[in-house]
Amino acid sequence: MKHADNERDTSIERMLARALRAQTSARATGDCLDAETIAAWVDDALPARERAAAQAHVADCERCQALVAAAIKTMPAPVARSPWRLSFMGWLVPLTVAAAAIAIWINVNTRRSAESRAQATAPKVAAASPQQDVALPSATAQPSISPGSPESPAPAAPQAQAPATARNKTTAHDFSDALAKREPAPPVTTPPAAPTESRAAAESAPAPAASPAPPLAETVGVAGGIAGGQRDAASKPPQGTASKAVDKMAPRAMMQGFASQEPVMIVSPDSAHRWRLLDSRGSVQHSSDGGASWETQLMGANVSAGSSPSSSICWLVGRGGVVLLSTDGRAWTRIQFPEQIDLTSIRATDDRSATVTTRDGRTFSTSDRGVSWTPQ
Amino acid sequence: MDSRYAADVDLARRCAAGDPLAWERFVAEYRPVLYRAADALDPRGGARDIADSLYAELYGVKDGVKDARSAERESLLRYFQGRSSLATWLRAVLAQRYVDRLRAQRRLEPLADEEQSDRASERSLRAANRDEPADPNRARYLTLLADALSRALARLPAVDRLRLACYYVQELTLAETGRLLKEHEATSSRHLARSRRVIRLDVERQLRDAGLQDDQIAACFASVVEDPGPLDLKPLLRESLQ
Repeated sequence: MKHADNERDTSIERMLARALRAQTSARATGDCLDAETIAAWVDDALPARERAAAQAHVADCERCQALVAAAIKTMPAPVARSPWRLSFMGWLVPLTVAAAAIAIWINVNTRRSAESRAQATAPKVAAASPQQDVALPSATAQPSISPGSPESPAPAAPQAQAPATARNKTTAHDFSDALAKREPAPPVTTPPAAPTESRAAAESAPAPAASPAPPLAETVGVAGGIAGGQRDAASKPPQGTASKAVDKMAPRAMMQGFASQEPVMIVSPDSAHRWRLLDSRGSVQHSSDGGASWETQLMGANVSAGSSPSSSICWLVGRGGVVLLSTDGRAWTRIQFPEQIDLTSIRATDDRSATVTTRDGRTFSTSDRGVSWTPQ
Repeated sequence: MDSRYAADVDLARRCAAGDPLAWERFVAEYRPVLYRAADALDPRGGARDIADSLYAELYGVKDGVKDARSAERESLLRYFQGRSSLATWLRAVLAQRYVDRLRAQRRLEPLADEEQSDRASERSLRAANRDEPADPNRARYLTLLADALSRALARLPAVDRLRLACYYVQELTLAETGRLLKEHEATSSRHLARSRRVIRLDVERQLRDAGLQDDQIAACFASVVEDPGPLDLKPLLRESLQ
């Protein structure tokens, strides 16, 4: 029943443009809008009543429709910034400052208490070797840099205390030995992005062998999408640079293809809306809460890649020239494609314009929602 | 005048009065706006000459006056009343001229195009009938459907018709449609889907009222889907009006 309704909606859609054109020509009444009024409308400066009157006229006047459409097309595109990001960025600076202040306070406090305890319990150490007073801060600072979670200041306190309590029990000789043992480890120069791996590499294996596996697994899907979303693409070594290339090529449209058994994820620019293509079941699922919950939309869909240029728009492509478009994030419309060939990737810029790549590497573009496709 | 645009009105008045400093500022700030808008209207540069002509009128040179310095200037900027920003007003004036020129060209140039299109659609209808002798009702179904659709559209609220027209006739994107109607593009999309559903239900009801059974209604809709090319309703509408 739902399928039949969708088909009928498609029929209605196909007839709408011409039917509307015929209507506007026949029904246009009243005075046309002047440029001043159109500009005020576009700038949202028309009083409500005047705006309603303008809308009523334009709904039935072909010329005024063309005028407002042209005026809107000349407006510069607004900068796409999600409200979530704005509010988050607004809080980010004070939060960072507060976190840094707390971290410094904890660090300084811990160091002071450790020093005072060390001075109270081992006065001989401080008196015997004054130059170790200089070394002490670096010894206490080391653990706060080297742990696996460098961003969180909280663990720094107990780890900073550990050497301090150890120091309480050591003699001056033991302490300088301990310092000497620590010296080869370069905690300050350790890249903060992968502190655990670099430490593991230093302790167990030569550095090149310690490749960071989990981050690469994440890039496979993206790289597969660029290569065309084919399963055989997964056998090729994933390339991190390729995923960066996608970001540069299509900053507004996230595009992915199948890789191994991982579901293909298509993420809208606001990241809350996303779709995943489940290879095993051939179904398409949608989430509007960043992936916390999923709703199945299509079952048995032969789609393998997609592109979402905005939160409500998603294009999907797949076998046999299947192109599907959703403009509300839920209902899907089949878009006609001129050839019965497998489509392996798509890059969309809005609900009308998209470029698809076929299995044999050709690309086709549409700027009229699939009414016509132009080979590139 | 909207108080938000007082500075723009002041600049426009000073330009219209011939203040060279104001004109210098106008050129620096608004000339690029004008030409970017022209490029947005026609990326192939077809609107640039309109922008040139408008720019001359903004300075105060009328068409036909050869020596700009000797003629008395009468700047178009004196018509700016400050109901919008100056940039948006410039874009609207440019859009108006562009659309009017296109319409004038369409009126003057090839009526043949329209006739050709009419003939082509009649041909395709005849061909469709020829190709599908098994369904002699197809032409009748299409007429009934077009008729019902026309009535369903007329019954929609004006704002819904406008949204449909922006999207399907003017081919604005959802974002642009939403911008015109001051709603989010997702809201525009939902409203469009709802309007389509309302139209479909109305059309189905009308077809039932015309005595068609469920399978015939299904055939009506299928006849549109089966048609590989765009369906031209004009001849059908013309027939239905006679």
